Amino acid sequence: MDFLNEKFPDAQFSNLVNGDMEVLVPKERYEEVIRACYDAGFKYCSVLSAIDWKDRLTLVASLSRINPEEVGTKSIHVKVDLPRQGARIWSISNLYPGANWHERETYDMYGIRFDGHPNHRRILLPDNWQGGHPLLKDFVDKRPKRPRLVRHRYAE
Amino acid sequence: MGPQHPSTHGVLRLMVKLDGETVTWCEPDIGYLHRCFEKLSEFKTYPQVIPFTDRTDYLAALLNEQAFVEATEKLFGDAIVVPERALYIRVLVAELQRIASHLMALGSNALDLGAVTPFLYCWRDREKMYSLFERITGGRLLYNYFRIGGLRNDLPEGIIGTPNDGEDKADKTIWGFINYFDSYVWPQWDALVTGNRIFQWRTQGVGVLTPENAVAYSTSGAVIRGSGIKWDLRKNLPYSIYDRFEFDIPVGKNGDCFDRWWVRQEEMRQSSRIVKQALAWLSENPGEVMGKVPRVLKPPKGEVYHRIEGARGEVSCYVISDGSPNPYKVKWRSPAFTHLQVVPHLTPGHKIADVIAILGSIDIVLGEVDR
Amino acid sequence: MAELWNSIPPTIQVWLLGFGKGTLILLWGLVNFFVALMLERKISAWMQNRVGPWRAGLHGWIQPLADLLKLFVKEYIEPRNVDKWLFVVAPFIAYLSANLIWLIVPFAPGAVATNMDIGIIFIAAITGYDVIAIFMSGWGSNNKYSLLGAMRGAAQMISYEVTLVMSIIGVVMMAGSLRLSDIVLAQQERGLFGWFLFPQIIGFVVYLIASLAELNRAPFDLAEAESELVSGYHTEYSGFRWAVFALTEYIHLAGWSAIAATLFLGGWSGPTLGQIASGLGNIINGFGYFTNGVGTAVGDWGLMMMGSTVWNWIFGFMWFCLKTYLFVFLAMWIRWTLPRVRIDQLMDLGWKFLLPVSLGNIFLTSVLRYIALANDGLPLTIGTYTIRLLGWWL
Repeated sequence: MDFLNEKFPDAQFSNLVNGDMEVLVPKERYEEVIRACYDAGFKYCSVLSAIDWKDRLTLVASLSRINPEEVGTKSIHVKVDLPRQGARIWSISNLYPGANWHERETYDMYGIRFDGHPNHRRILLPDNWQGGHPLLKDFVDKRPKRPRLVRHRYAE
Repeated sequence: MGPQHPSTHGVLRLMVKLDGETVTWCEPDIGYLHRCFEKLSEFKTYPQVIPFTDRTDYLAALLNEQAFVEATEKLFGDAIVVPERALYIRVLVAELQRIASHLMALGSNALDLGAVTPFLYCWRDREKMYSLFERITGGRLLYNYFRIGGLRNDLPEGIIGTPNDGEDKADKTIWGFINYFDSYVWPQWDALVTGNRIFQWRTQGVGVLTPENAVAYSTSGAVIRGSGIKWDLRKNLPYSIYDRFEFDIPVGKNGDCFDRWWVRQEEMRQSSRIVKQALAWLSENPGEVMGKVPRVLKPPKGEVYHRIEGARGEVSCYVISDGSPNPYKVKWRSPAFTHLQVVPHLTPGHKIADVIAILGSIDIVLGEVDR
Repeated sequence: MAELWNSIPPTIQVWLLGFGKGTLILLWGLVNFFVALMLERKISAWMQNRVGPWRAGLHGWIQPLADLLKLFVKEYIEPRNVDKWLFVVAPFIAYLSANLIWLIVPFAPGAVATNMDIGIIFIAAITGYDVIAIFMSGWGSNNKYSLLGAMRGAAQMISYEVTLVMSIIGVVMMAGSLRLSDIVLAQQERGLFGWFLFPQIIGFVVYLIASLAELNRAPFDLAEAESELVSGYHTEYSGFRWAVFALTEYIHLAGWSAIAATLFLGGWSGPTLGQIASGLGNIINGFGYFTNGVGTAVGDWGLMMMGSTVWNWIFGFMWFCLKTYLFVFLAMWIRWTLPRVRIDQLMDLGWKFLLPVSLGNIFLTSVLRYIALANDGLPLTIGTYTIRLLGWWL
């Protein structure tokens, strides 16, 4: 994994608790970094998700290598900081078909748009759901609340 | 093939375009069982999240608990020491759950192909396992047994049994169950279904997944092993104490439905090997099962990505903690969600009957897919 | 009684007899339905490590009666846009075809509803009705699953009809007649090992597979494949109309089993009461001279009973039922053990494998018989003896 250190010395590296490497890249270099990982043999995308820090979103792509001989494999987590509104980023689903649905889910839950995704629509929620993107920290459920019909004796 | 259908293993909707009987396009539509697990877990404390993890893959619940609990324990680092006995019991019950899950996978796969009887044999054996688990954990299907730092309780008296227990003790002691499984159940499945010519006709050559595609589509578990790649997180990324056990990894050759079936069947056998080794250790080493943990669990700030080999593939859990008793984020990566992406790639060109066979061999559980 | 009967003009006699036989056949169909459904549920349960119906009285053995009563009073749900005429009539055509088979089956010596001398050809003709009925129900249901099931079912049944009839021709050649009661008499003459099961073992196996395919039973139940098409061509039926389809299935099963019993297992032939008694008498005699009196008495009584038509009928009927239900049991056993075959594999099996095998069977039978006949005058060496034995056997 030192190849990344060599190729992109200006990116921020750190380690996760279990020893995996994470690298924070700016949005413009995301595609380069991903392609570098792919060419280095990290052809397995474990998961693609996002984290909502209250002031920004962070997209996390976890890539790993499938090498039957290797014991103690580690993943690389490529992180990109994105704004909370109107975030758009390159889709990796053409390189990693397994990330297709993970990107749809990230769009569904966080509102990040992926350029070049073949089937860009919501996955878990209905396609035309208008309520917003649920996993954002400021998400408010705007559906009308059903009135409680029976008052439970422990209800406040 | 709409959400209510006898063969879709839950509420899954498959939109299929047909040309006569041949499929030209297929797309799954999911979300019918979405229960907002990830959002909910941000409002619960760490121990309160554990029952939710049970309910994602409800056919092999303890494996999911293991993912979350071990991820959180890693966040604590050295602050929490899990006793060895607890680690061995975790492996024991996890492998028993793996056997149960594979039995269900094989049973429902056979049912989809028309053989009704193996499905009932699967239930006969799962019922025995339910009795065992009820004595150990108190629950039959969903357990809430693992705790951060250990387990809720030790194994009850007499549940381990002796290596000579026969079939009559199959639902009373674990040794009885394993002996019954090895001598009766496994050969029965081998003879009745795997060796059946009609079954082989239906599954060989159907849904072939090449190794390159298997890696590209992020498959794991029995699906990738069926395609010939010997990848098992218990060996390639040893977590917990799996490096102390001796077991093999079965690998298929062609990547068709029959190979995935066969890999699951062989894995059951390997799991029973692990169980026997765990039982041997446990009978000799009594001890505590819960480490010292603070009353209110507040892991230090950090992020952890923990991957385990679940019943269906790689279950991984990305936990972010900000020092408060509630997790900041829990991302649950389930194998069934990822594997379901392979179905639109595998099905075109096959007949309708094969769509069902392929879906069954990918082995999805909608609880995991939708969370 | 006899004068009353003779006073009726002959045409009306024929009509009355016809109605009577028809009613009996329909009733017999119902009886078969009960027994077959009971057996199916109990046998499948025992094979699957459970007990099956338990509460419907007598530990579940009258469950079919409960089912039938419930289905009588259930509401008819008719989806919109079904083709009314096709949808409604289809179950009854299927029921008709199932019952027609029972017309030519010989139940006991001399007891056949219509003793046609082209019995086998009649069977071949009837198999066509069921195809029509399935297709009518699938098309008329206005449901893509039903249509798929019906198309598969029609294709399957047409393919296997040919093979079915071909497998029977070997038997016809050996018996020398198309009439079913002649076939049974021919088997009765030849004794136990001459029953056409043994010489025509190839034909029997082909018949078994082809009849399972005709009946749409597993492993060939694609037309109603439960895990793929919900219920195939009878998805949209409810209430009594569905009951008629269920009736059809079991009466059909029993019917084809009866034909199998007649053609291959000797129909009603078997030791009658008289023969059993006289045989028993001989055995008792053999045990020592102090039982001589008992043995001779039983043996004499047996000899006397051998001529009794009524007892011969009863025992013939009993053997017939046993053999029919042996096949029914076999069909059920196979159903609950094997998975389903895919449609293209089914077609391959039928056309590319079974049909050539059955044609080969016909060829083999005819060649061996011809050789045996042609060698009739030659001296008895081992070779010619074997050939003549084979020829007699075949």
